[in-house]
Amino acid sequence: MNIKFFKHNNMIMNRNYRFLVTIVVIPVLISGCARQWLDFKPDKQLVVPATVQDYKALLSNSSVMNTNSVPALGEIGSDDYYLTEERWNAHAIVWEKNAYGWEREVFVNDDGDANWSRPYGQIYYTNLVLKGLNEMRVSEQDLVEYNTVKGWAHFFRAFAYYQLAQIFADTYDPDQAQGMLGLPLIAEPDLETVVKRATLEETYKFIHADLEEAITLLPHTTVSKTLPTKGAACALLAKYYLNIADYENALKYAENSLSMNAYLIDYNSLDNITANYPIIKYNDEVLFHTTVLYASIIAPTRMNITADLYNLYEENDLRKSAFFRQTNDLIVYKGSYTQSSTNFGGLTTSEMYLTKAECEYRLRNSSGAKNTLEAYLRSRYKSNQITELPDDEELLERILLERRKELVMRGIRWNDIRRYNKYDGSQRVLDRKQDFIENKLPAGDSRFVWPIPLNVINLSNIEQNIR
Amino acid sequence: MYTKYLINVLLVLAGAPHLNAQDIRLEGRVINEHGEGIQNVKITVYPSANLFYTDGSGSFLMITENEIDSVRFEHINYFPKRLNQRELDIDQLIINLREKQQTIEEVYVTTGYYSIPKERSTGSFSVIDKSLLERSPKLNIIDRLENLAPGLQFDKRNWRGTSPTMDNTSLRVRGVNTISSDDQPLIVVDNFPYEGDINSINPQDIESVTVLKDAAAASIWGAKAGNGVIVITTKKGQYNQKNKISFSSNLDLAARPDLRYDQNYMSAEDYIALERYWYDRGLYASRESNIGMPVLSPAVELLGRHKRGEIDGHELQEKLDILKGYDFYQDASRYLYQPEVTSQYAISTQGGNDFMNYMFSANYNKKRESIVKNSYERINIQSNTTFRLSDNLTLTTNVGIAQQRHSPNGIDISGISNYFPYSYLRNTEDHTMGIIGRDYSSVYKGSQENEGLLDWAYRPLEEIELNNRTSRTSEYRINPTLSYRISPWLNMTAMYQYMQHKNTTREVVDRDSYEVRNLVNRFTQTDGKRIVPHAGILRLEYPERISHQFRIQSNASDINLWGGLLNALVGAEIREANQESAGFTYFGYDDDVLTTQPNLDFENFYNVRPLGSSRIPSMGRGLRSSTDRFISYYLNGAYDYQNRYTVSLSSRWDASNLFGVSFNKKGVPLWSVGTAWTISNENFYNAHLIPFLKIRGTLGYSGNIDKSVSSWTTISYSNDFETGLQKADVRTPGNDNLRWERIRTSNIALEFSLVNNFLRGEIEWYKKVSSDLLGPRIMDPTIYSVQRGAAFKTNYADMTSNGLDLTLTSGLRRSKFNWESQVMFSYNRNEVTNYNGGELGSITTYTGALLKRPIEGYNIDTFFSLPWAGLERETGDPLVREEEGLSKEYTRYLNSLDIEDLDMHGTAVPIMFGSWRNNFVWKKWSFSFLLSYKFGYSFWRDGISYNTMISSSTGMHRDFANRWQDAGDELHTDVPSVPSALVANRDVVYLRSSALISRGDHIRLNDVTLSYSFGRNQAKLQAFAIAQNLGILWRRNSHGLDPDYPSARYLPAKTFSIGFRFEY
Repeated sequence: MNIKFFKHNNMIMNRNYRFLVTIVVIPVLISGCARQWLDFKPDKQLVVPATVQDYKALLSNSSVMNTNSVPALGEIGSDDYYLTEERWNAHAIVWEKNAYGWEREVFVNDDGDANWSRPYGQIYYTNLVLKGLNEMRVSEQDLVEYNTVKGWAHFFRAFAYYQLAQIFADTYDPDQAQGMLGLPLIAEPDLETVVKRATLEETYKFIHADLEEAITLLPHTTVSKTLPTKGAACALLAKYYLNIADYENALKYAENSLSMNAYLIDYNSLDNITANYPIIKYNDEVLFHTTVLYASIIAPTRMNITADLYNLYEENDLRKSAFFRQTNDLIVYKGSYTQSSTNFGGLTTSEMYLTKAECEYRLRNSSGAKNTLEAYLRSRYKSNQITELPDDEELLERILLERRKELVMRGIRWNDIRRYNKYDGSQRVLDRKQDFIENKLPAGDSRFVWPIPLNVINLSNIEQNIR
Repeated sequence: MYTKYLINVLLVLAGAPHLNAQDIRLEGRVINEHGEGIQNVKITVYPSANLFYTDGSGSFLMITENEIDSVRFEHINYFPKRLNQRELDIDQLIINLREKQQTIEEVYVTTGYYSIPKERSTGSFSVIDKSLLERSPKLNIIDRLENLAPGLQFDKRNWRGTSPTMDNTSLRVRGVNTISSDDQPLIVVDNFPYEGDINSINPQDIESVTVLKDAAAASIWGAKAGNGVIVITTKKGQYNQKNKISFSSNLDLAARPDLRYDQNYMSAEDYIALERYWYDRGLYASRESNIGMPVLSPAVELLGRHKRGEIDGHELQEKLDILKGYDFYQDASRYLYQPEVTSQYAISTQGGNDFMNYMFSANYNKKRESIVKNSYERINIQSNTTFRLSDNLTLTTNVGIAQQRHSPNGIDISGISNYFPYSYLRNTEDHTMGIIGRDYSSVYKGSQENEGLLDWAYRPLEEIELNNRTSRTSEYRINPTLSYRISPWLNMTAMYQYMQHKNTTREVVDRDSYEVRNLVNRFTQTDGKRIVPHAGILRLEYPERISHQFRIQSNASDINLWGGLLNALVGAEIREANQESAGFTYFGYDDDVLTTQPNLDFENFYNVRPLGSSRIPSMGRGLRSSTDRFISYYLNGAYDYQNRYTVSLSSRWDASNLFGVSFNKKGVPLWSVGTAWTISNENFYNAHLIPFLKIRGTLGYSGNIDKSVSSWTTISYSNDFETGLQKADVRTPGNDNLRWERIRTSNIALEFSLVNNFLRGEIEWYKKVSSDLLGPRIMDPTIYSVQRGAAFKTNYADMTSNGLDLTLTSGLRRSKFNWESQVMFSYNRNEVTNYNGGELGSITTYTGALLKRPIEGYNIDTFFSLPWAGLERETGDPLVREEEGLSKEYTRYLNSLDIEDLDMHGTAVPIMFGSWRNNFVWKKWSFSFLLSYKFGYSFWRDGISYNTMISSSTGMHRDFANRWQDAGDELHTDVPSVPSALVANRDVVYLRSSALISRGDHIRLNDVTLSYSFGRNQAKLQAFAIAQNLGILWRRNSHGLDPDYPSARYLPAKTFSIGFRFEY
């Protein structure tokens, strides 16, 4: 080929244009399809919640909804256990030690905020579910499931607020509740919400409304003890009424609950009552399963049961060996319905029996109360060895004693002490009787309301409880 | 709608007037004395002064409208040549250029989208070529880059000397520009982002590595370029290159890991004395009575037996004396570790003729790892071919196949968690295998064995023999590229890459292994019923990743415009990456006949020993399936005027399926501009002492991607462990205000060479401003409480970093002696300029060497510690300084602290670092060494932790020998005395204090290499020896610690390699 000085022909130039067309057109075509192509789930497990199934799955999350639901502060402040001096010295968790010693200030940093954040975390989930359910259109065939999930959400939210109210707000007083501090009532999953505390009246009304709704919506049965039934909602409402001393309603709902499930495990039939955890998890007595917030100070491996409590169990009381083990001088608790060292915080039929008996007695039906109590005790005492039940005042005392013995380490004792102080005029002074604890906790003390964790106060500027 | 638009475009274009100029065409090739084509020869056409350049094969094709009088051929390493019109009148022009003696190697920078000579770039690039990569025998390409590029920092704080295949090294290209998003640079292999395992890349196949550091260099990678980009290019053949075969092999030997470096050592005698002291004070009582039956040390068990009256004082002493005779470290070193041996073989062939070129290579590497019974193998096959299908159409196909096999059957010292100084792996007397406590106390285990349970003892040496784990990784990369030359200046390229990365892990847990025996025993019911069969377990796991990437790009090159040259490209890219993983566990597995026991009860809870209840550990492994999709458009252009002025522009727009629609809409295009002025090419320039002088500057934006955020409320599904039901967790709470992280980088550089290229240098100053950084904002838990992995990540901080990179190269070239020396220096400092994520409540969370805790006004790597107030004279207890004076109220003190009360020790990452490399060549010998240095940072030493020594078997430390023992010791030691009771936070105020902080500054001799070349002309043989990890020459700390690895159990061992390269 010689040096080529030649004219460009039109063909070549046309080729350039064809090229230009392609480079303009291809991106345009790509961006046309792009929107659909990019509208693809990045992760199969990842979903933007929209269906009843999505909301069902959120509430079926037992590590959120059924774990650490009951604040530990109440149990830590109660009088059923103690810490040996050696363990007290080695214990490094300040808020737990302050709570054990009934100090005015409990929290020193963010530690311990799970008492607040775990129930509010559940409230966030329920709000997310309720908002989604309310905004969606339900098909006829989904309606049953829709109602169930909605009922769960109302129940879970009521449960969380109920537990929070026992710890961070004062005992309910119908006359003064309108002027008393309640909880921040969050009803939307909105991260921009301005947080402020409602009155105690509003708080209790809110819980009540959720429970009413739950009872209407919930079915009688469930696939798992971690998901509530109508019976569980009645039990929680009975508990709610008992707690505000409305014994008639408490009785009504306890009976309602028992009408759906009145099963009691006969402790005489337990295979190996001295085993580490003789009672299985999710057993038939359980109406709703959840746990008390893990706090190392009340972990069975660290704390010991007071002799005061242990001695209340008679030798013919099967709970003595089912719940406790004595090694050397130390009494270790092993009676949790979680079948592990985690403390059980849910609802059981036995609590309903005891609520029913108490209400019956308080409503002057002592024979009914006696029958109810006896029916319950038969499952707890060695066969035909129930210590004879007294009458009158002493019967109430016995009912409350059995209540304490049954519901040990379930986060209930604290509420009961507050309740007895408020409505029964009990003057009991809580006292650790240990050299290294200076404080005592007399009835009516402002320290029966726990302080709100510091990070909550700092981030929201809500009013702190005065102790 | 788009069709309509398309038709419009076509109509407009069809109606456009045709250019119909009278063009002149000139074609040929420029070659050197060896007949090899010379790339990037500048061709100036006179009288028009139009410019052209030769391509990779030295060929050129120019078309000009103007008359040609003469043509000048220039190249920096060759004597220029000028041809007049008559000389051009030849069939197929061949121009020979004669090489200058003092050459400067023409460096090409490759971004993955285009490749240009460095002298024509405005951006900041560091190129590491083949010969530099060959300095190191390391199997991982990234590891070989250390100390070879300024601004590229290797952060080894996580190296623990436990996993020899994974270095746990994190990279920083010019510091760090993000807080909680991915902070690792993007790695690009042969033009596409690399999705595989970097260990699959064989360094011997690599031609060069380019590090893109500033905006002009990296912004073409857009939203992924925020942390810098490392571009890896594999070897290719060349047109008209004679077939070349090369073979190389080397053998690397690394010494047995030296456990004497481990700071957590204590002598058996000291430890037993300590345990006795504490035992007498009842400090083990709660462990002894714990119903969870935790492991007790052999000595504590003996003390317990003595206390219970099972053995008398004499026997106790006798048995303790026997224990004192053992040294676990000696055993571990002897039975668990071995010298590491690596052998590498590589063969390759390359060549080409007029219409095709090729490169084919095969490699085999085998490693016996430093942990006994661990082995590693890798096979790589790589083929790169290019065919010229027609005058204008070429097809390039790269194929890479890599297979890796790793068998981690050994156990390292940290795998034996509950060892004590007097534990042993093999009894010296009767040679029985030693038992190490695991899970439960041996007293408890013994009592259970008496009840008929299986032998429950854990014998590490037996486990090593039983382990049967293999992980196989295979990777396939196919990358065809079709390139069409539409006109001399216009080229269109379509590229596609398919990549498959598959990993299969198979583990057979032997029926006699501890794991099986433990599981069987734990699940044996009180009536003796076994829930888990006493048989093997087979575990399979197979994650797989498949990606498709397609790119279409058109390049316009060397367009004459206003007397200068314009190069430009536009392109679009589409990418999809799928990841799937699955796995399964078979119980009751029999490896001989492949039977399993499928019908176990995974549903119900069983009581387990010693306490609690559990299900049989699940059969399934987590199933995952994820898809990333990206669409990007980009353009890049540079205009070069007379080799004096260059202006560049780059822009890119990305969209993906990851973050939600509204987030994408807010994605603004990322762009950069740059300019360069080569002063020495000006006509007025006549500073002969500085033959080359260039200034360049760039400014631009790049981004960073965080896959974990979304503008939507999202939930993720899984199975609830407790109930087995389908459950969902909230992953992101939804956030309409999310924005991409953006990094603005400005860069100014000066390049020069002095005195006939005796000294060449490059100084670069840069500033990076990162805004809208994502991170977890601390929320009021009333509104949103942080669940696992569901923190509210939002744009919460801004930071800046600035720094300097300096490279100086000097050399002498004589006929028999060559010397080249290169100094690199990098400086980088950052500051958090804005932070609104909230403050953490607990002050000790700010103290730590590995943290990135943003505090406004501070470096993100700031190293905080508790102030140290010394030891109490009477007791040797640590003191703390409170308002009222010195005290021992540790807990109260810790809770009263604010950030302002903490001591600050600069940063935990060096702010100055670099290297000095020297090469000497004398006749056929060549010798080289590399020193590296790091200055301006601190590191944390481990310390003794008495509380954890009592509660578990960790916390021991060599410092025990220097502890406070008598009044007066506090004057020369900071190590607290042995406490007589557990005191909360007594250790914390010491371990987190400035007493344990040392300066990290040091200088290190990295490697020394020696080689000898044989042969003449065609056949070349080179033999070499390399020594690596040679140790520290100078350090500022007086503890004998290597500041890069203060907490490692052992240091990377000295490695010696010998080998040869043969080329024909």
